[in-house]
Amino acid sequence: MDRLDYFVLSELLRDPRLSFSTIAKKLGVSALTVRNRYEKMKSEGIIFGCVVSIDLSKLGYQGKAFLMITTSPNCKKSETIEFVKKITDVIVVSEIIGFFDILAIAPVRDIKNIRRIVNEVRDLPGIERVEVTFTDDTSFPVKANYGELFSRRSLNMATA
Amino acid sequence: MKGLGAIERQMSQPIDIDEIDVMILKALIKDARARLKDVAEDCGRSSVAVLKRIERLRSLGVITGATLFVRPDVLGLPVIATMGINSSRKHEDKIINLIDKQINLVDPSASIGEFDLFTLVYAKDLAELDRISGVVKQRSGARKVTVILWTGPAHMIFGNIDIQPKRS
Repeated sequence: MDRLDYFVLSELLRDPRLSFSTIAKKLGVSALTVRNRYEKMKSEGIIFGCVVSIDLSKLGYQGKAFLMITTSPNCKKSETIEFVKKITDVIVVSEIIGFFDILAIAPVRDIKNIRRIVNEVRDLPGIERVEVTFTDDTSFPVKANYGELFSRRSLNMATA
Repeated sequence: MKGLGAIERQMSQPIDIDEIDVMILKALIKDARARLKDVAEDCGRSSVAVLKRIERLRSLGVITGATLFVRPDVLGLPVIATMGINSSRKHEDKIINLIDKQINLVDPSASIGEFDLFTLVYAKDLAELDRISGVVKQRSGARKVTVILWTGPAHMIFGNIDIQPKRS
């Protein structure tokens, strides 16, 4: 990663829909250079996705559920995580340290759907307990301010 | 003020979307920078038709933009945690304000259940995470701040959302 990579990232993090030529003009390089940097960072897994932002409330969703999953001591967490990832509507899964073992995040359509998700988790082998917290945040996948933190950070690294 | 209630109700009615809209949304979830031509091909429609649909979804507020996901360690923020905050009702606004100002805290939401407020934290190391948690506790009047550290890679499978067509 060189300065130009961080500059390009900083622009895209601020507004992922910017065209390569707009970024190129601002940074004083060719559009092809910007495209190449973008493709390189994608292939290296540094950029791992560009996701459309959706206001799920417009589609009838009510919020998000955070499933806090406790597994039994002899359970292999990595295997369980792979199973949880397969459950429809689960959009984020992570291993956790501390009060529970696995966190899963799912947008909430209605009570029936959330019950379905929780039951599918409960039915997996090695699950001891599932607790749920709800937010009324219907932004998908994350809130609009998410990119701002990383954009500033990338700009700092470009100008360091 | 009766009219106003009716307008509000209308504005919050779910938007009608059909199977093609769902296919378009799924394609853009996979890659919001996908070429219009490729999305149109996947949906079996013309580029013009798909563009019209995307404009409609934007104007109705269904599509609000896009997010780029970057490996946080590349930006010097390898530590990820969820912060659950328990507070009294009167402090909630103060806390949300604080979160908005703190650059390391993103995605704050009021919640019900285990915690009153939930937010995501990115930090450069555990010491910074500890410091941020301390700041939130001190400056916000929160009763309790619970830091839930994410270990291992976070698996983001946004394409797993099962958006359904809806017709009223």
